[in-house]
Amino acid sequence: MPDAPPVMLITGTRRGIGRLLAGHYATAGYRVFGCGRSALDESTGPAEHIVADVGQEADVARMFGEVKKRAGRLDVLICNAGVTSGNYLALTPGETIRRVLQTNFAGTFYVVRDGLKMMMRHRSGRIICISSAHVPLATPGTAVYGATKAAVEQMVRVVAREAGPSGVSINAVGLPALDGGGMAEELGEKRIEATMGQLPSKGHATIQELIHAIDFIISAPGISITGQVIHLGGA
Amino acid sequence: MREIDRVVYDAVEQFKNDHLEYPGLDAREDVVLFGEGGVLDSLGLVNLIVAVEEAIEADLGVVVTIADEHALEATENPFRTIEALTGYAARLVSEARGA
Repeated sequence: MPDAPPVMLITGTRRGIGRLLAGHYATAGYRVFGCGRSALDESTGPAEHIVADVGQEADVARMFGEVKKRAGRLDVLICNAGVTSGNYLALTPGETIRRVLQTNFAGTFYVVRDGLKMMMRHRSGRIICISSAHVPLATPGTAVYGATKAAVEQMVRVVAREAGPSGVSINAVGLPALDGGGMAEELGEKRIEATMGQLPSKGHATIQELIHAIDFIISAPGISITGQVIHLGGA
Repeated sequence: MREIDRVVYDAVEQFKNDHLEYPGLDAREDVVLFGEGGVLDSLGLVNLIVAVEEAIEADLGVVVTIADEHALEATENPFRTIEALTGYAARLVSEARGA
């Protein structure tokens, strides 16, 4: 890690998991950049906020340009931004597929690509993508959402091989419903409860458990921890 | 020597110093970068392209993306030699400045 505070970028920090993570890592000594599709509601936030839609390639390029201009480097990238979609396939309109794919997969792709290029210059970095328990659980009603997260997981495995020689690791953390994360409200409580019932933990994960998993990845002395998907809750 | 030539050649020199696994990478226009007889493997080429993009932005204040679909569709491979790479980068910089 550099002498100056390590630099972290977290996408999707206006609320939910992203905001909780930004607050934690800012307190932990990181210089944290965050982003969202609109400005923060309050004048102060835990992160240096950049208005950017990860689903828009030009926005992502501008965001990394800002980080580069202000901090000059990037040590940790957490790809958290995403949208949810809960509906049975037969009832899902095409527009939903395009919208969720654009943010969850294309958006994560743009962010990983541009973040990786910044990290390659310093030959070090840690990238963490947020995935979902709905991938291994194949929860009914999550065909679109789960497919985008499965795509992210596959991208992680491929990019791990491409980024390793540059000293950059990339992993994913799969989440069940996270307390304070907002997913339960958006996907519907009953479906979440049914999902949780299949997990060994039988309950919601906490932000502390997510931070523990992220810290494990970040603190690895090398890049042997790469291309992995850690599912919280035992999914 | 044009400004862009200096930037690319300096980036190549710096890249070689940072990546000792590519000893054949000399900053000469006729050096074959990639493909048959090339001094770089595919990951080395990607890293070099990123380094050149960074150098162009830092030294010339212009943001360019060298490895986009246009490069891959080009009749003559812009990554074949350092001369080709420099020429392609010069075109991109010119286009970006004119935009």
